[in-house]
Amino acid sequence: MSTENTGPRNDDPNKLLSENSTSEPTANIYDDVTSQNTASSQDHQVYMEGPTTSGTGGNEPPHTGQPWGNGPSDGAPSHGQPGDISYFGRWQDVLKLCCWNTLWTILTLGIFRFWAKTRMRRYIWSNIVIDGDALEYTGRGLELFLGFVIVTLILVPVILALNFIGSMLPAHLMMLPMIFTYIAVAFLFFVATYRATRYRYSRTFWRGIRARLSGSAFKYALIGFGTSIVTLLSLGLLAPLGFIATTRYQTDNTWIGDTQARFNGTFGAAFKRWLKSWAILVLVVGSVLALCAVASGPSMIWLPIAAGVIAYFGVAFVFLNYNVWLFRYQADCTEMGAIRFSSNLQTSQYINIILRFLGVSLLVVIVIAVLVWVFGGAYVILLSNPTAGLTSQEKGMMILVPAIITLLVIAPALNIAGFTFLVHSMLAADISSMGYQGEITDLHANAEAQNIPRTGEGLAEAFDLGGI
Amino acid sequence: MNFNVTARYFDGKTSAAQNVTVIIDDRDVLIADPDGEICKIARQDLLLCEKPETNRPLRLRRAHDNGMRIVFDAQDASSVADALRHGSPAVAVDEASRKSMTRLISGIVGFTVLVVLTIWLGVPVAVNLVADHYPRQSEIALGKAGREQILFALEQLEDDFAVCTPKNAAHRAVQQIVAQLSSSKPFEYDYDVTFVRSKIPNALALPGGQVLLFSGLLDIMESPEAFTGVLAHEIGHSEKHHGLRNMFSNIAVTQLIRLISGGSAMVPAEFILQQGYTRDMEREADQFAFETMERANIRMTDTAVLFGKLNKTLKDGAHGLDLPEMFSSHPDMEARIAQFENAPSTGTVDINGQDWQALKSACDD
Ligand SMILES: [Zn+2]
Repeated sequence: MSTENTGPRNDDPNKLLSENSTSEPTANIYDDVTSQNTASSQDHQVYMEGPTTSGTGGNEPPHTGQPWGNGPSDGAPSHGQPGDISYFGRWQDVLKLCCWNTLWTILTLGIFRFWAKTRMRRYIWSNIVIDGDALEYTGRGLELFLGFVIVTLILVPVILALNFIGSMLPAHLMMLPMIFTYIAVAFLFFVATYRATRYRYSRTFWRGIRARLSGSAFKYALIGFGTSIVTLLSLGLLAPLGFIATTRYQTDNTWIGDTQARFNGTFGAAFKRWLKSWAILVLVVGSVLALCAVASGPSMIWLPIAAGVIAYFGVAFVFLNYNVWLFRYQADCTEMGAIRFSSNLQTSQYINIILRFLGVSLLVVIVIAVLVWVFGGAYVILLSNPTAGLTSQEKGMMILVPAIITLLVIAPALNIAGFTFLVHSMLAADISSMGYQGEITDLHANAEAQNIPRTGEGLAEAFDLGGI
Repeated sequence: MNFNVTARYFDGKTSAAQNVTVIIDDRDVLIADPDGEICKIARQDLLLCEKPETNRPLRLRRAHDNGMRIVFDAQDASSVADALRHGSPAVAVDEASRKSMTRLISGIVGFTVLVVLTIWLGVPVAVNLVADHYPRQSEIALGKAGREQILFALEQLEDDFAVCTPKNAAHRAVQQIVAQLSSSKPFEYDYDVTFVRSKIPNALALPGGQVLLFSGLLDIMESPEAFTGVLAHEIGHSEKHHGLRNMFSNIAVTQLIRLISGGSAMVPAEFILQQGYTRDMEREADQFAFETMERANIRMTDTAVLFGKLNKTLKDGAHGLDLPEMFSSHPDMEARIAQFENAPSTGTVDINGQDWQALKSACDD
């Protein structure tokens, strides 16, 4: 395996990218095969166009230059460029899949969600293309379902016992089981996250080589929980500590075949960047509080509200900006064998995605509101008609049933919009922002079949961690 | 029919690809390189890695995954997909063949039936077990705490709501009636009636002997015997631990449904289940009231008249949505009235007219 590293270490993603775009295509033994299909993708040079030059308009998400968003009519290429990690998933496909999944999930009272999740992952994984070959998700819905059943069988008696104990304690001690539950949930959250990641990795293949996550979920939870408490005690000042420590533990335990990943990010670098964000946050929150204290008169009541709204958007922007930087930093600091990753993700990409999502949500709500208004009008006439001779019970049902139906439509519709236009779009932006440097050497399968869980994610499911 | 195509082959041990020729026939898929055959895999042992898409490579793996992958180039993908998917056995995506879908649907139906059975049969048994072994002192404390919470909630809902402060004679009357009801068979709890001012004709039983009586119901009571009927019904709820059972079954069913549906809003299912439990409890409380009054030989015709009035109010919808029982938690009103109407007991309650007046005017200032 080659350990040669092309290009110097550099924390500036833009510099990395410019070097990358001129780098030689990696030599690989089946170049003759891949080159058949790369011709059509020459115009999709990811790093030549920055995302800031984007905005193609129309129905397509404005991610430019990216394979993502191109319809099949454009002759979507089947292979990305050497050195680039592409995402080919289309929001139309995701929307369709999401609608089907939601329909089946509702029809089966929620049980289908494990298979729904699996189908979505299979789609997403198969559209992440690295060096001409897509990832592959081999998980099964049944595995997720069994994991869930096992955890349920353990968790339900525990929840019932806690409720029982709680109701038996004297009033001033009633908080105890609740506090205990919150601490346990916070700790188990980390355990669940790590275990879920382990499952997903174990079901991820690239060129027939399985990925894997070693290490202990318990240790990860100790690190995560401990640093969370430190963050809390330091009023958020030491937040990067948790990110760096958990990311390092997870990345250093990430393998594909027998090739191990490395994370060389440092607390110092992340802290330097966070300190600025944190100072702004403290300043904003502090000034809003001060304003509230000063503007106590009834005529000034609008002032703290207006300031609060502005502060909210300011804080959201600072967080977003920091997290985008953190994503780039994480990519820059991650190595896999001879490969170094990079990312050119921009905050403006996320802002565009959020604005589009808000627009779509507004549209969904308006459409449903119009429907309710039209059909609801007929209902009101029927209800207020004394000759209809309805009992109060029947009237109650007539109000309740449409209300329930509306709820059953609104929540899934917003969920679908949220997944398609927020979660998936952000994921697409994340993945297609990434690239790598260095030569992909041959990977070898890990001989021992360790750390391959049989069932998946039960705990994460119980906590409703959601996501993908 | 033989189908011949070139592909890349990954052996699952290294990520290096081999260029191979793949021959697809009716039963097997044969993989060969220039040196000869590499392997032959039966169609039923193969899976598509993902749903074929236009302009995308097509990938195959074994059902028993050993890392082996066959990747067809994008331009061959659709014809290869046709060859694999049509013909029997068809090669499909994992868990997506017709057979797996049938199995999945029947599995989900079976699991749903199992869960419903657990909720209908298992939960009441477990809940009764817990309620029967719940410490009495805790139940009494729970009832007192519950009364405070309900009073607080009612205060927010209704403007002219208030807790009434009746004369001592009213309490004396209540205790006299309780004593008479329990003369041949003592009750498990001491009973405490809280009178509240509210237009709603209602009464509530909380765990451990707490009873709430709304003045709306008090106003339409014609006699101490009618009051006794309502009180006996509420005492029935307490003696049978309905409050506790309700609470525990609520927790159990909510948690079960939340877990199964993945925390999504399944309020209707929960609502319906709760109705089922409540109906049974109302019948049980009625039965308790009937037996207790029969034992104490107190006439029940006045109670039947009261129930008749309640039934009418309910039908007229005078109180619309604010009646908690409106979704038929008091079942079969006609049968219920008939049962009390035809009761053989003829005796009366031993309280004097003054005490009854004090009780009746508990909420008059
Ligand atoms: Zn009742």
